Amino acid sequence: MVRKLLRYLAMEHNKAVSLYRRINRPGGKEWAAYMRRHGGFYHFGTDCSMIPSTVVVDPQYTWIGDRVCMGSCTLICHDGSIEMLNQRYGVRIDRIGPIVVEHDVYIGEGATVLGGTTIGEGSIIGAGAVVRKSVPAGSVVTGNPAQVVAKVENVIRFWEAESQQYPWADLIARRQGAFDAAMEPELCRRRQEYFFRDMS
Amino acid sequence: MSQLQSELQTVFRQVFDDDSLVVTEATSAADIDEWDSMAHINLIIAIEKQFDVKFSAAEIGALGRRGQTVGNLMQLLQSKIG
Repeated sequence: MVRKLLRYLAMEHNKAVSLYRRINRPGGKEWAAYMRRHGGFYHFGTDCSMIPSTVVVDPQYTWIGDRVCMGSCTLICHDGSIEMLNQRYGVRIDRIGPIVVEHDVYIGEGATVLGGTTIGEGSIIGAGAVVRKSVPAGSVVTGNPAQVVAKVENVIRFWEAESQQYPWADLIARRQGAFDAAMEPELCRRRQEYFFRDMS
Repeated sequence: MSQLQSELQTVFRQVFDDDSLVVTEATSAADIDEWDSMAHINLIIAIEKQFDVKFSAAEIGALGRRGQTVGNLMQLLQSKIG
């Protein structure tokens, strides 16, 4: 009941949001729906997923496409160093650029995306990557500075083939989406058995 | 060194951007620092292009298993190119 009320207040009126975050612990889909309405983004597409610990410093200069999934990452459009530069050197510098995250992009845990970059459709930004220049559509990038390490189309072929080799492949073949709570206990049991088979 | 091994070594050198790389039948991912899961994908794709072959899902799955060596890869390749 309390959760329903908190959800209503946050979603409909943008009120009691910190309580809503603490008590309800909204999942990625729900938090993205909240951010779409109240996050102050220049554009925020539909059917996205965003972990609440994601940090978007300049949502007003950030364009997010449809079905974008974000782990606990950071998006910063401005260069914070100008505060010091302008103060110490008496200059008047402005350094800021938009971030465009096109449709169907995944941004991994701990990745940082800097202003003036576009992440092309269907790309994967690996965990901890620091994106300092635009990413071509359909790329996998990792590292700092983020570099293209593979094409998504190739990765799909390999990961699909490898998935079919797992002892729990039959469950994955039946699973809808990336998580099924009902299937999870059996999936976890089989994975543990496989992962730690050589441990005494 | 067989023709196949030498051609394979050329592909390895291109993918890992290292002209001094020497591969033997015993070479595995453990011997080449840069041979991670992404490099593995690029390597297999480059091999497919070079030898004009296509690995099946089962073959790709097998090649991705722990402890696979260049020897295993050569055997598979040999069986495909005849």
